[in-house]
Amino acid sequence: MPADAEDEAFSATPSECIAAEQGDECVMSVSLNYPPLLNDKYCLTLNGEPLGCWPHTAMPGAMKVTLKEESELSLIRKQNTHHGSVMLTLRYRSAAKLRRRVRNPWSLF
Amino acid sequence: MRIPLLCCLLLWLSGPGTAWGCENDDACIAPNSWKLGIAVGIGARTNPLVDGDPIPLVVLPDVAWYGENAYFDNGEAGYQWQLRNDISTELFVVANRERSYFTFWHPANIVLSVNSSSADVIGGPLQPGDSDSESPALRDSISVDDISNRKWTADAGLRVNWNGSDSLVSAAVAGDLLSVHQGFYAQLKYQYRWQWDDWRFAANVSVTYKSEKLIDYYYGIDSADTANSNLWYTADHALQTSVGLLLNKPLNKHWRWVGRVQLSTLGSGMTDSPLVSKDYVASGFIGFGYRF
Repeated sequence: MPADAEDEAFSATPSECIAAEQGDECVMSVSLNYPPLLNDKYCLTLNGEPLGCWPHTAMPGAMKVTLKEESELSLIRKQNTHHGSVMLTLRYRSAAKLRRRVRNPWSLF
Repeated sequence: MRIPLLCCLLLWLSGPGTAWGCENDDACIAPNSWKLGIAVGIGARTNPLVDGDPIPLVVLPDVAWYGENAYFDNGEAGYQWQLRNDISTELFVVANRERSYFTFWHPANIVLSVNSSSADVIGGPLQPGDSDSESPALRDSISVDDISNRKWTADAGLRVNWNGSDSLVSAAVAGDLLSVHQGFYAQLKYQYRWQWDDWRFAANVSVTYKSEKLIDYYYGIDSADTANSNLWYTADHALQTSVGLLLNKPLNKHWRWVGRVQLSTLGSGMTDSPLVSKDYVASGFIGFGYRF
């Protein structure tokens, strides 16, 4: 079966980390899938902070990440060419500290 | 007719998707924290008044601060008590928005200049007798440009909220805090939130009762407005219905798509006024939001 466009994209699984409660750091291992890579070095960054760089044949298939907030995991070619990113989101088992806002966002006018 | 159609559309839209969660959502906030954002896009709110300027929606700020109980959220200040996990109540003070139809320099307008000859946007053709050279006293129609000044005011009230996992029912009653219109309003609102892929939606439907004094202050016409007694109008109370849809799609940590549409009917107490040319107010906005 031919790969469709989604299979060609940079992706991370799972993309959601579940912490105990608001303010806690969340650590999880994500499996990484890459689009076809050229013969070059590629880097992974989390919110712009470098996690490491590897030759295209040695890109890690999984990685442990630590989230303090919703974060963007990006694949970048060595010459700073952006090759895709995924949002890693946070959920909390105890969401009691979060309050639902009285008014809707963007509703001043 | 428009409201039932929109209700059907919203019900259809809310069919698929998954339940809404509070985490990572602009609609939720942690105590003792701020949420600040600004959205830039294109949109407008129609003005139902004769010759009234539509209100452009180009820049939408989002400003909220919540303490343990006190809060400020997009122009509303209040004090909230969590009575149970699923029930909260708040005392609040909020600016009354009726006055915004009467002025070009509404806060919504200060972010850009608008061609003031846009009466056609509200669909109101010039009335017979409208001309700068003719005295308002001689006209057989009246427009927002002819009448005496209506004042801004703030309303203070009490609201009770019932929170479900993905729905919210609220009932509120509020009265004039500054003795300007000396009336009150009561509102019952239902909101349903859901998520479809990365898109977050919130559909709402509400019914608002506005008292005779409130409607009459803003939309009644008397000798202070025109000497033509044929145009004098004592307004009755009004029952207004509204449906709306908000959408939000995060693009990354800071940026998101933001959109909203809202349609409200105005009620005969208001639309019978010679000052009012439309029986509805529609608003829409689509743009990019940046969350600080």
